[in-house]
Amino acid sequence: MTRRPATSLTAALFGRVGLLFLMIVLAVGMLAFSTARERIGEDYDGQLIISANVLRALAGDEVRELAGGAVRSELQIDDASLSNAEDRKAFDKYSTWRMFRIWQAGRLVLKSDTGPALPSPALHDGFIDVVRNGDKWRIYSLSVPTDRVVVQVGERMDIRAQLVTGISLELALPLLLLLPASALLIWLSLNDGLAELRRLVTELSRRTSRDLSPLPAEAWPSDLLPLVNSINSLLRRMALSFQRERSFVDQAAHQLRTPLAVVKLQAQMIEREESPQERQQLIGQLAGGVDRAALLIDRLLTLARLESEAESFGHCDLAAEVRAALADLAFLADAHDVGLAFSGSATPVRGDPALIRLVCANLI
Amino acid sequence: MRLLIVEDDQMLGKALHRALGNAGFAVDWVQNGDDGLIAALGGPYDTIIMDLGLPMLDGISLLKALRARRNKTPIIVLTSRDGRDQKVEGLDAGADDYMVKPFDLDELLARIRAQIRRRDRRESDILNIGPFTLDLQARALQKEGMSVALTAKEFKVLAELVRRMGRFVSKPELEEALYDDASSIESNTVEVAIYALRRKLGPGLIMTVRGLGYMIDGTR
Repeated sequence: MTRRPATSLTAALFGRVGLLFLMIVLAVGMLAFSTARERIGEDYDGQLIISANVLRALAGDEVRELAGGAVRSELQIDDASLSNAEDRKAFDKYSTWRMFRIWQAGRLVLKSDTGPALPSPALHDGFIDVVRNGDKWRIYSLSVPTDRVVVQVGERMDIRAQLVTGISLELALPLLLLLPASALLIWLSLNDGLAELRRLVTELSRRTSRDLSPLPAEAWPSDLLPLVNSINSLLRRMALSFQRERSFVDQAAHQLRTPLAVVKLQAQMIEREESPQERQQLIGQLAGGVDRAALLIDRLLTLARLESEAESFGHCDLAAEVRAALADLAFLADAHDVGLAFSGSATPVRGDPALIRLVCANLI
Repeated sequence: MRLLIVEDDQMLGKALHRALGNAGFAVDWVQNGDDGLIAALGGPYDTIIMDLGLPMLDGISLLKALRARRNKTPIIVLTSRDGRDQKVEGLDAGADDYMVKPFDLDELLARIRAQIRRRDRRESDILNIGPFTLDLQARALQKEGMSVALTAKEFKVLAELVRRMGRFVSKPELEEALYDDASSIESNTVEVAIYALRRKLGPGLIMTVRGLGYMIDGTR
């Protein structure tokens, strides 16, 4: 699996925050939608119950009188039409989505023109949902057991859906407008928040390769301090390493000058020496001078290695290294009739075993 | 012409001693600052060539000690310290010249000659004595364009007399110019050289006054 190239931190943060914000907006929208639908359902059901009761109160006597007559579509109280032409018109305005039925002893006695054909209802209260010709109706039945009357009031469900949709849209529109505005704000905030990080990057990139001075620690927000401290620690170590290197180079140049002066002088003397014997002798000395310079270079290189490895010293036994050094020199000592003896117990020390052995050999 | 080398490095000291000796100088070599001070004060030397990093008395202290004792011998510092501040310190401590190792032998010789010229208040290394021309740099004597062969000792004695033309130079002083710590003095070497020079240059050039020494009269 290959790792995607690193994207912008700002873009990544913006993506996450934006997604979270979008989810919140969607959740709020859905919650609002479902709440609105529920509340509208309850309110409209309540209105249906009230309507049914009003209708029953208004039409109570009428119904009893109508019990034997034909089905009518208007109400009359004391011979005056309850629903005059004006009322009728007003009702008709809503007639397509409202209906009523009044039943007496299982017989339909009064009805609106609208609404689905319904079977004779049972004598009890309650809501029913009826689907006719693709329209869904919500109908409330109110029973009056003493008169064996059932009043049914209903309305089409899609009017509720329209309302819910309307309310939802009215809620959603500001949310939808809020979305790009918020995205802009989030983007600006992130940019502003990451400005310090960019300043750090600029600060570092503006430096020359030899500028290893630490970053000012107090000039950064606390979130960036660990990073700044790490960078400073790294800079310190690099500066120390550079300084060591420089001092080593200085020292090496200094130490090498004398042997080089010898070699150069000997070479110039050979150049101007006419006697072959003298020349031969000078050439021998020149070789000695070169050997000496080479030895010094070896030592300087060892020193350089030591300086770079000084931090990674391990542990070793001093007594063991002394014994090893003695063993190395035993042959030489024997050749010169020198006796070597050692007494001592294991002594752990910190250091490089090979170098400790070298030091011991030099001392012996 | 007598030089003192103060150099603690064995190989460099030895090589310098030999190189400067080959160039016609009488050379003494000491290996630490204390010996350097004693030798320089015991002089006289025409020029001192010294290192700065010396055991015992260090180079800068040696320079200051010599100048504090009003020793005016020209001093050339020959060191591996190449920093600007180090050069300034060395020159301010009393050095007349400063050379950084590794150095060029010809350049060192030229600088030594320059110091000696200044000490002798001469403007040239080519000196005229009547019909003769003595070239201190080429170590050659000519008479009216013709080369006159001299041995090393004869040249050294003649150079010493010519450098101090008009003044008496004692026998020990001539011996100082002839011999360094590497050679042993033979009692009649100076006389032999003077005899040979009189034979080659003509009898009247070098005067001898018992008790004062030898002189070439510059007015002649």
